[in-house]
Amino acid sequence: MMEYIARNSLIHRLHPLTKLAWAVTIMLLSLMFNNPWYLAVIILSVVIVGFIGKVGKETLVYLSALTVVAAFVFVFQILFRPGGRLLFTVFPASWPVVGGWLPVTQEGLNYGFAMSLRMIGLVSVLPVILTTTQPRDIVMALVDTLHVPYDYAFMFTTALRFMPIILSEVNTISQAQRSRAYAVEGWNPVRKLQAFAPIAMPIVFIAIEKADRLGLCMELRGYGSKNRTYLRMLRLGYLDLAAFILMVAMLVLSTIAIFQDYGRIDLIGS
Amino acid sequence: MMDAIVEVIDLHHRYPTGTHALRGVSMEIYPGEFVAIIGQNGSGKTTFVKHLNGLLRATSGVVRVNGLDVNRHKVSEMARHVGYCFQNPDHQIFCETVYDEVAYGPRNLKLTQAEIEARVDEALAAVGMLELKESHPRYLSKGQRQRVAVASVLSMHPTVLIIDEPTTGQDYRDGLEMLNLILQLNQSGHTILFISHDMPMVARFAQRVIVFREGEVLLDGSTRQVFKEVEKLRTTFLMPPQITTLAHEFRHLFPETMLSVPEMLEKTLQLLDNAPVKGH
Repeated sequence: MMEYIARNSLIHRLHPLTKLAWAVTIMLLSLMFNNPWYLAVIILSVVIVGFIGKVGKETLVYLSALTVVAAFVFVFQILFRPGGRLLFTVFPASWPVVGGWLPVTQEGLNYGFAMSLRMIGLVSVLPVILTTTQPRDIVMALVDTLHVPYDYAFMFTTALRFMPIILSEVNTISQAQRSRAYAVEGWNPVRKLQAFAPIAMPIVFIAIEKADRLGLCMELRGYGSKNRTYLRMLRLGYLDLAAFILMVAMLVLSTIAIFQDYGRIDLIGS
Repeated sequence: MMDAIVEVIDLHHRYPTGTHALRGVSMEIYPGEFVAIIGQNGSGKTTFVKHLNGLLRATSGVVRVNGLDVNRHKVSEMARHVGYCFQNPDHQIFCETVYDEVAYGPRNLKLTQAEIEARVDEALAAVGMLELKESHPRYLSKGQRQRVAVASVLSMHPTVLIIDEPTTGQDYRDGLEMLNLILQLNQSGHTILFISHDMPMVARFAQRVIVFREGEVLLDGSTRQVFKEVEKLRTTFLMPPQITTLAHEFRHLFPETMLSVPEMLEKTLQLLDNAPVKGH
């Protein structure tokens, strides 16, 4: 799970808003292009930013975990995409009955590549932003600059902050149940669902308890009293300006490229 | 010589984060022993005991329980040999009744209904909770929930019981009752390993103490031998019970290690009796 890592880097010093803008830029670019090569370059750029932010290793670990999901997307897109130039079928045509089932087409292959890379591109910024930005700074940026109500911004970052805690609790619960010979076996979906209860029930209770305690602690520290002031103020600096110029330039160039027919491939197979 | 029930040879564990949590731990534990494992937070106590039922896998080294190589068995297979009670019972309780909670392990072991019922009754009787069989575990006190947790492990008939911090977060009476329960289980034939920071309880109940420091075994011996090593214990910020420390300061009078107030009192009275009478 991604948590803030205190390191001294260019990316750490950027205003959180700049990083959020970067996230939007990367997402837009991932949606604009569907040529796998272009998408790969977008992802590569995110990795490079990760390395500049000294969180390159963490970014790569996260992305490699994502490739498992991407592999699923890839396989399903290939198998269930109708039409196009036939390359081969999963069951050779010479086989009885099933022969010719599950055709794989050139278009399906392209589409699979494009969609799985796009999926990675869309979420690849997450590890870089979460590891280089303190949650409270994200709150600040949302409240101070974007005028999001403080309660909502706080809710958002608390949810992020809670994830690793909940995951570690789930791990402990799963160990406790495995010590009582808990094991999920077989493929029976009803069984699987039943097997979920020993983990789900304790975690729900523990999460409610934790949320309750958190609420109490917040109130004890004056949460909800009027006219909140802030200890730290964030300012946009020259670094942020440079980053914004770079991002706008990228978006303009990409839009021009799209109109010039670069970066998009025919996925319909017409 | 009896065969060891737990045999650990040069155990190392390195977490994926790179932390070298265990650095060559070796020990033998014999059937029927009552062992306390002590040490600072982060000294490797919990990491160590999690190797005994396979929750953690050795990076290198051998762990054998009941002659089984733990590394070659699933946690669910080890469950009938090693019972592991977690510190917080809320990490495992999920059923609507105490009965179901305690029956969960035996059901996983695919025992017959009659056998399951017999085992639940037996386990609940052992922890003194038989009359609360139909209660909802959520409405029980923390001490009672912990007993349910112990029963839910006992019902699988493990020979080795691991109990992680049985007295933490409880008042003196509940803690004492918990350890008396563990003592009973020990007397009924279970080999006990418990992790604790509660030195007076360790002094009072454990027969043997194993001290961990930075992933290594610093001391291993009878409770009396271990608490004698005041200087060594101090290096890892462990304090023997006050009465033990006091007797240690007066070691020219009390050459043996004192573990309890009654013991100390008895020795003091003996000293007074034998002292040459002055002033006559």
